[in-house]
Amino acid sequence: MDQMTARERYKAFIEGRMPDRVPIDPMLESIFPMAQIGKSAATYYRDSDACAEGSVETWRRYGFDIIQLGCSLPQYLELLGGTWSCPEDGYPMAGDPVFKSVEDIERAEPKDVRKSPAFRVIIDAISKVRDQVGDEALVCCRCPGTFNLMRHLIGTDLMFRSLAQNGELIEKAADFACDLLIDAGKAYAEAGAEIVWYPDACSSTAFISPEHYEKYAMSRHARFFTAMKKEGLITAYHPDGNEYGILCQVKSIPNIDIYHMSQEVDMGIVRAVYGKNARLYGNLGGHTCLLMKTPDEIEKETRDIIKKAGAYGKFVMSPAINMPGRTPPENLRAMIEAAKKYGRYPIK
Amino acid sequence: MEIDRGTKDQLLGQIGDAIEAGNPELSVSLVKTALASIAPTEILDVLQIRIKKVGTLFEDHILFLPELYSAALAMQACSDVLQPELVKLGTQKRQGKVVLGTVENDIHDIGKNIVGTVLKANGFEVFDIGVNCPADKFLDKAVEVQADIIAMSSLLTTTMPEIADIIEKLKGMKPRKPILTMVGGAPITQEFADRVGADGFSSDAFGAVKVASRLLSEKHA
Repeated sequence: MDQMTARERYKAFIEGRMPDRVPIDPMLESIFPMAQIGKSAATYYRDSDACAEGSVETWRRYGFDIIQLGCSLPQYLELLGGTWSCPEDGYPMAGDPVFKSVEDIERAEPKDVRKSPAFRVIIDAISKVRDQVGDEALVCCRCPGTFNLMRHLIGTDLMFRSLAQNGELIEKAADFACDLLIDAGKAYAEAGAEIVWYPDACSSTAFISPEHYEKYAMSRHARFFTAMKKEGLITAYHPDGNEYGILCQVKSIPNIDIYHMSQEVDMGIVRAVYGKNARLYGNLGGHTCLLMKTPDEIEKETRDIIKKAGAYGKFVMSPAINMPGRTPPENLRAMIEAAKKYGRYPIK
Repeated sequence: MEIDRGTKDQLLGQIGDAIEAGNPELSVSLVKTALASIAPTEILDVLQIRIKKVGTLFEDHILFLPELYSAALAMQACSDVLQPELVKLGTQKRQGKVVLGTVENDIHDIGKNIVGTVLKANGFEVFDIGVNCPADKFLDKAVEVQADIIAMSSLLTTTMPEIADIIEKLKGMKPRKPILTMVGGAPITQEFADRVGADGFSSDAFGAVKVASRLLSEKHA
């Protein structure tokens, strides 16, 4: 039986006190919560009432600890005159890149995210969720990483060619993307978000070399997290791919409260390298486990991860990335129930 | 124009280095210079050796996607310059025709672009139909160009069923020659590929080249 509210449990995790059990964050995007209230996924991005209702209803129904909301990458293009669309039951899709050159970036004047219709929906939804859950739980906002956003701003082809040959474009585009994300994070914080989750697959070594990570990515990540700390947010970084190649570099970036690891890494190794005081999230396979496996298999994998990384009380059980939208509800329940069963402190 | 062995080796080495460095402008310029004195088949051999080396370095995590992609672009640009010369000699080799795209409601293009570029660099004729492609777009293009392979990419778990749909529709068609299917993308596994009846699966671009080559040799065996 739980002895803490979701908020108390997460606060204990952050403040280094022992929670009653491992907190759980299923990292939900649009599709799953909207399905819980019988609405299409696209409704999430156009109706703040529905977005808030789906998020809160799912939280109450499944009994996890964090409510996560946020715009996805395509919506950032709207701020720069670009386009995006969303299939009724799919994920948002970006239009064409908005920058082709350094000059394009220098000429650009982004709008305030608070005035963007797409952002307004999510900002208002965060505010409504806060009103509805009060002191019971914390709200986490999603700010997709600098390189992820840069890829949408300049396109994949130009990003790869520039990384190989034209550092100036990368420097300018990365700074621009980082500024935009900082503005979004501030707007979410003003609305009541208390945690910011920042995933950046495109700066991971699944994409770029550790040398490029050090040269172009680390300083932007540091700038983002420092700005978010100034807003009073708890910061969570998800390097999102092949973390082994940059484990030490990631650890040296300032102002990161939480490290969220992808499924390629063994949480036991991360715990050993980062130490027992590091706050870790992880790392049940999204499509390979939550979506595809049986509840029994999910229970076993959840138990194994908690055994490896959860013993010191500084661990949140979560998928390795946002939970796939079509995950069977019984599979989400299996992860949550396993975390409650095997994650009760003291863990044996 | 005759050149001595040392000069020839130096020029071919510079071409290879430009490919590895992912510099299309320099590599094309060097290939044009080389064509005045070196047989196009010899130049092509160097290109293929170097792009294979880039692939190995990528598999060993010494090179990463930007370097791989740029090297493949340089290789492709050089191949385009060599192509007419190889045709004249009657030694032009095309591996096969591949229709490549990302399935409907999915606009992820990184994997698709890299696979397309590396396939082209390895002698395949690639018809890239873009992202967010409905089944009919894949099938119509495959029939139009008499493709050997349809290669489908999906990065979203929500769009994976589109692959099954395309393969089912393809089975219901009767193209003049059989069309094989390949699948890839972050959530795609061999298990998924087997389940939907795809002929091939790869988790990376150089693997895709190997799979496509294997499928074609099996088809022509």
